Amino acid sequence: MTMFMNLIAGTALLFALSGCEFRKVAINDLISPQQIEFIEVGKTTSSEVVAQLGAPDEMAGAGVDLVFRYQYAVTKMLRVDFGRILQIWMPVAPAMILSRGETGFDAFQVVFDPRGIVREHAFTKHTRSRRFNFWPF
Amino acid sequence: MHTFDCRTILEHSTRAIVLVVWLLNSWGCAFIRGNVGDEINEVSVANLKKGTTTRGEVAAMFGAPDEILHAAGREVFHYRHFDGKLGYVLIISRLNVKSDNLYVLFTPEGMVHDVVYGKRTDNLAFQVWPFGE
Repeated sequence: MTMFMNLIAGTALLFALSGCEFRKVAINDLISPQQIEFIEVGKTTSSEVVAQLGAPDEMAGAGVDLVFRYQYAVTKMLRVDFGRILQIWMPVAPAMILSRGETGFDAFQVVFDPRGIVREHAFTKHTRSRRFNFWPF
Repeated sequence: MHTFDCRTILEHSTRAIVLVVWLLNSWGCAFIRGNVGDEINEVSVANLKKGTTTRGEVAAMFGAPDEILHAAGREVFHYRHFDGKLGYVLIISRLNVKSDNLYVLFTPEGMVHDVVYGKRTDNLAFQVWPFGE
């Protein structure tokens, strides 16, 4: 009897799990504060920044200055289909899906003066608070 | 007793293998790769000479740029190549996307002033684990 109950519980768990989907989309690598420690305002050149961090995802002008932007984006999505549990007892189960996706963007921005020397740099961080959450309400 | 333990382990292992095979068969797995744009030819990038190569020669080497920017008083040709790898197993999946970028900055006379190139796609990996970084 115990084995039978375990089998039922295991099957129910598998069907419940089969209704879950954890998805992550990551665009580029995250740039950490440690990776930009080499940058010194008024000293570091654009060539040194490119040698360490690669080419930026975006290049723009700000007056006579040149701006490099390195971007990182992450999306976390969790989808739960509670209808899958009903498949144990029913040949056709309705879809009962709750799902939510969260996207965050990080950016590291460096501004160079007309000589190609770093004038300023800054981080924008929005990806840390992203989490898997299926509750859409 | 020792024989019994070995047999038990064997039975559990067999069940585990059967379960994994059944799970993979039931829900499946997938490894998918996608590209956007042509790969940037690194030999051609090395052939770009500051103050010598013209805008027309750049266009002849790499084709028309994906984007033309105007930054800090200079015209910039921007070339991009995206690579994406998706790993999907059972109920978890992860899609990694990275890009290679080439920026060619020109002088007002239409000569190459500077070249900014970076290749990220060579260390793009197939991953399925969506948790953590």
